[in-house]
Amino acid sequence: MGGRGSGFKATGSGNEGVRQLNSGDGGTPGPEPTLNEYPNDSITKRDLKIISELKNKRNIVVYKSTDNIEEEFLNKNLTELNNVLETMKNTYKISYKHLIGSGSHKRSSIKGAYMSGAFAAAVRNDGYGRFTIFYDKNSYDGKDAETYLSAEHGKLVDKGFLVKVPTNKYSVASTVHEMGHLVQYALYRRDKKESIVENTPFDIYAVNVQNDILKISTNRYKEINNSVSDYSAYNPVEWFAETFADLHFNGRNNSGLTKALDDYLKGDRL
Amino acid sequence: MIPKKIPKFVEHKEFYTHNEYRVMVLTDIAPPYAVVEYNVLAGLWIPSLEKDYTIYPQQFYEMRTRIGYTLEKVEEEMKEIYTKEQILEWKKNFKK
Repeated sequence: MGGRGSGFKATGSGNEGVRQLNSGDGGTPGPEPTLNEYPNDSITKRDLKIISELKNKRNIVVYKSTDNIEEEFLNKNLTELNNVLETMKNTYKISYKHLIGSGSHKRSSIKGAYMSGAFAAAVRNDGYGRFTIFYDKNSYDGKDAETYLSAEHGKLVDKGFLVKVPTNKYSVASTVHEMGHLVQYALYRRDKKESIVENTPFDIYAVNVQNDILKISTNRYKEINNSVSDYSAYNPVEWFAETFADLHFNGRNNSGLTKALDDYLKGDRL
Repeated sequence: MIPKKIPKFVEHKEFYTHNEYRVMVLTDIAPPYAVVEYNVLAGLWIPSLEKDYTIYPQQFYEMRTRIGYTLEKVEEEMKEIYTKEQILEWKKNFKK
């Protein structure tokens, strides 16, 4: 693929309605896909406690395409994902209905895929909160994923590109960043339902959220920094996901920005 | 989505800016390698931003004509970014 006109679309059979996210501009061929799902994927038979817990308590199913991810890596990532959901529900009162959908027919899922450009991806499947988190096959197949991904993530942290997290969390940091995107979208869905925002497109909503959090950070906590990493300055959606990861791993008292995001998520806004 | 690599073009402040939605976008003078790197990022952002910021051949042509490139020179640079098929398809639908 080599980055030539890369886009992001799910392909392959059995993709259960994952949206075709990129159809090109009508005049030129669409970009090459960067995410290819496994054909004939089905629910995993792997016997892990966390897999049963996600299925029974959260309505999130893990697919066979993750079977070649080493157990330690998968277990750690799914446990972290579960922790995020627990915190969102208990601390921030963001319901599962908004986070992961509702009803037995609306299951979120965890899958493996051939991707380029990223280690993990969160794709929203519909307007009800259902999502798929994909893990890149190229990054773990035939490798010690825990060691490899920790090292790769660590390089990006060391350069200041990504938010600093404890070194023993490097291999799960991508999952939490992706969950940050899903949390922001859950807030958007909730705000729309409560008519706090009406027809505001998501990208404009993201700018408004960033403004609101920065206002809290500056006015309430006198914070002078407005970003937690270089990547967070690329766009307001990545800004939210990076700040979310900072709050999740480093806690509320890490900076004015983490305090402000914590306040914002609790509904304590200016 | 987190990119696996830090794009090199960000080392040059003159190659990028931010639009009204605070999304990083390339300037008209960004070199072909920057477009290749940027398109990787743009692809990663589609699910989260719900917008496609990919620079397609037509957009690249418009960037370069704004800084006075001839069509010949634009096509020369396009070879470093797009596949032959993409360039041929663009030519069929070429809008000045």
